[in-house]
Amino acid sequence: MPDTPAPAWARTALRIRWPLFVALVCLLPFALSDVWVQMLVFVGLFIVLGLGLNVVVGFAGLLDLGYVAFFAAGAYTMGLLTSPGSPIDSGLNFWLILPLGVLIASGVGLLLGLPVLPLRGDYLAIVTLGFGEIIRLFLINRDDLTRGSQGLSAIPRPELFGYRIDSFTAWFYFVIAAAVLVGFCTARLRDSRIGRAWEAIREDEDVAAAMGVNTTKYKLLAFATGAAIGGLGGVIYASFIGFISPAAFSLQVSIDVLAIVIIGGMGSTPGVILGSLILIGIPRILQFRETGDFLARLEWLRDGLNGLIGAVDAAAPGSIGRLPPAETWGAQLADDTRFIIFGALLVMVMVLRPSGLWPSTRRRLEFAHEESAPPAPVTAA
Amino acid sequence: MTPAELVVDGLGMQFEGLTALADVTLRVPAGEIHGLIGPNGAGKTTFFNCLTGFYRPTSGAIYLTGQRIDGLPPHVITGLGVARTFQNIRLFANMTVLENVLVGEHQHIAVGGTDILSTRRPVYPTAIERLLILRGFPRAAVNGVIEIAGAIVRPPRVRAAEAAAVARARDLLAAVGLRGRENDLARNLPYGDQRRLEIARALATRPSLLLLDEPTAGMNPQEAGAMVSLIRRIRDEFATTVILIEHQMRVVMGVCENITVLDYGRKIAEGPPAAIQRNPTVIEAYLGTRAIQGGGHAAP
Amino acid sequence: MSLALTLSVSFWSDQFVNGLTTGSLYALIALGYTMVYGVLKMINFAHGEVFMLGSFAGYGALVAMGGNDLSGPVIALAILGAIIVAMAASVSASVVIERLAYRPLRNAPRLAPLISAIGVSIFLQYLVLEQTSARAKFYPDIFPRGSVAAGPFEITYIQLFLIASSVAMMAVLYAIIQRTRLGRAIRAVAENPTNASLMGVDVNRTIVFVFILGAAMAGVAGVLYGLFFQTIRGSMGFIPGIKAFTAAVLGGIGSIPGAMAGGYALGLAETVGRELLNELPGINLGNQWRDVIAFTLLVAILIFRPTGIFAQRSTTRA
Repeated sequence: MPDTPAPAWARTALRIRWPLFVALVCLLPFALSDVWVQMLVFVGLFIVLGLGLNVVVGFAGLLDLGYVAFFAAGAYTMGLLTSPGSPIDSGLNFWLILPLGVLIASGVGLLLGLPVLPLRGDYLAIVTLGFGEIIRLFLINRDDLTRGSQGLSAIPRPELFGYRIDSFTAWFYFVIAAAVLVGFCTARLRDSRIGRAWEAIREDEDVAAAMGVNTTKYKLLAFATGAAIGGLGGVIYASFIGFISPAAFSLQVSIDVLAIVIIGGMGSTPGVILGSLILIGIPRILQFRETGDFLARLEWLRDGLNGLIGAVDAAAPGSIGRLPPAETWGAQLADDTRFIIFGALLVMVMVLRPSGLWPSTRRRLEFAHEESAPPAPVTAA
Repeated sequence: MTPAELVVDGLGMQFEGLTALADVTLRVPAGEIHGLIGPNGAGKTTFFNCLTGFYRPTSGAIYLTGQRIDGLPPHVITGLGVARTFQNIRLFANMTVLENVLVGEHQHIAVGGTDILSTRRPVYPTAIERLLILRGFPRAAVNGVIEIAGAIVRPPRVRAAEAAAVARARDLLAAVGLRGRENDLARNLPYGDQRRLEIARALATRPSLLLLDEPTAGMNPQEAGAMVSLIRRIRDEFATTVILIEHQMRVVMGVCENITVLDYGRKIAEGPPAAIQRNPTVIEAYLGTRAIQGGGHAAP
Repeated sequence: MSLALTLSVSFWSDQFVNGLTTGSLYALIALGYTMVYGVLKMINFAHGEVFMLGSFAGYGALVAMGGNDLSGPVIALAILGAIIVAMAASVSASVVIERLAYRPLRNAPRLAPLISAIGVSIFLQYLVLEQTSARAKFYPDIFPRGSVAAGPFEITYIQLFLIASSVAMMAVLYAIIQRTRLGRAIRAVAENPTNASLMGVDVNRTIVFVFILGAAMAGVAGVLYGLFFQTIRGSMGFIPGIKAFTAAVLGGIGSIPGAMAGGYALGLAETVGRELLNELPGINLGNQWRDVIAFTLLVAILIFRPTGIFAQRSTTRA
């Protein structure tokens, strides 16, 4: 680090970088069509979820593979209390259900955290995985409560000062607001006594306890906070989609969120944003009609490759299939191969760049001796 | 802060098939610098682990100024005034020097989240007994929420507490000779400074009993001498009782007022340095007659 | 309220045999988990997929040799061939995984190999799912039908074959571990890698052999599974993987006899245990509850008795 102080304009820019970024993001719906804005709503939703898992995995170092359970808790709170199909008729307003969903989700987080307190590393991961699956099986099987695979539908949307949040643009701002709130809160938590306690637990749990940190309490706080954020995401999701069923709360969601956090950068807020854009945004972009139209121009490439394939096929018949039309490549890639790429990325990131694509300063230093070259962006985020 | 008196009564630590400690009884009066020596494997670090709650002793009792502490969870024992350093330095490697000390100050930063398990009763880790945690749950939940709210909102009270903590941390770093290094990463410090940082971190917990596990290991005579002065200063300025595990006999004989000798988990001698040096049982245990008399290193 | 007990001996003996059958599979797969954990202290999350790959490789071999057209004594040769191909596939996959995804992370912080293993698991699962368009494949139904009776027990030929082959494989593994130099090296590395290397053991090579042995077991299990259950799909490794891991923990992770015992214990708990619970009034557990039982058992063991039900209780840590 150079010792000469940075010029005044640079220091100001550094201090207002987040408000500036958010302001720019708010301008996006004016420049993009509805399809893109809808994609960004999902990206924003996963940013919220990623920030929540970030607290558990990135700050406290607890590998939770069942994060979807908290997401489901929030969503089903919303669904059960508002869907006409549910056995409960509450007539409660969205804005009342929101904190309730968050509360219930954090309760689930405590419930999950309590028994797993003495577990470390691998065991913790597999137990949380088991919990996530148990929750999903429970949701499917108890269809007297949850309408099982049929799901709960017609979940209403929130109203704000008489204005209903209906359009994609409105939802976009809503989700961004949630993400900003969560991002702000998690940043404050990280830079507090709680954050230090989490960091100490992550570094060396036994020594943290020896220094007076009540590891039980802080691990539970991590689970509860991460779960609360997951629940927030769930409530928003249920209202946005309007329909929930157990199929939406599978292990795949946990993997999605885990991938965002790990590949984007453990413990790093810009990392989560980048991770969500890449891992959630790109697969959706690939499925746009416009992408298909663009890819249709690559038909010549497809013909050429099919020609090559034909030659191989002549030598070993039946061993390899022809390529589908170029315009479907995007959708195929997004659908079938998304998780194949995620899996490979997880391994590659761990082996080549464990601190992630946009690392937090601390993780970068922790993994520094693993990497060959220092990464470009250095943020204090 | 007043230094603590330590009374250990018949302490025993039994692992499967291995008796690490057996019937250890000793008393360290308040304010004393007490040495704990013995051949490798004698149970010295195990003794520290029992004192700090890392192990639950299989027999016997430990009293800190009259209060029984064996079996309590580690963070509670730390809150009662016992702090330690580690034989193989265990700093928070990827945190800065300042942050390491701030973690030590954890229980003394008044942000409103007092710790729930600060009970005087032993809390057992078995599953069923862990459910007892639920008894303290409502209070714990409220405390947790208060602390989270405080962290997010950062009212003046919280800011003041954090600022005071940082100031105190800086004082501690200056006291151990690490002034100005506060933003360095702990793992980038040279070896001797890492040992000092461990001590500063331990002091941050405001101990009345400080346990130092081989503080001069790996140091040359000059560095060891500086460490000895530091230890004396700590006892005087911070008003703590100090127990010292050491292998460098010159250090032990030079700074300790009384010494306990362990061998195979048992206490084989206790007394002032001069008496220990002449004690035939001790000499035999070490098999290093010349070593002890000459004031050099004990045989490993 | 009355207790309606199924008093039929044949019902319970059938359940018992079923338990031994699934137990054999769990035991074979559990060995891979327990051995890798013994030497590397990590859960090989991808091991379930190694089992799955073996199963598919065996399928491919059988189809290539004639599939449903096979008949007569040729079947025995075909099955043997399938097993060999499956073992080869599983072993190759496992060795590559170890080299690319685990070895570089030997000294990394503990989260890293864990995440890498999860990545491999996801990668393999979805790769196979994509290649098969998520459709199931069906093993040729060529195993001779019929059964033998032994006292109250009636065992079908396939069950007999499955149990017998599993026991044979386990016996071979046990012999290797106890009687050969390699086995001694494995035990040494599991105990203390540094000391083992100081004694002249090539730790890296030994670890590779551990993966090889575990994968071979899993590959055989894959073929046996396919022959018995007929249906295989890309996602088939996940649940059996977790259950096998549960079995390994049940018997004491790191212990080879423990994994075998744990496998059979879990198999019996799933079948006989579930039926026993069903005898209680008001409880009627369908098939999917088998998974819930296994998960709950896993969570319970890891929390209450992480050293396994056969190991000594460790009381040191406060």
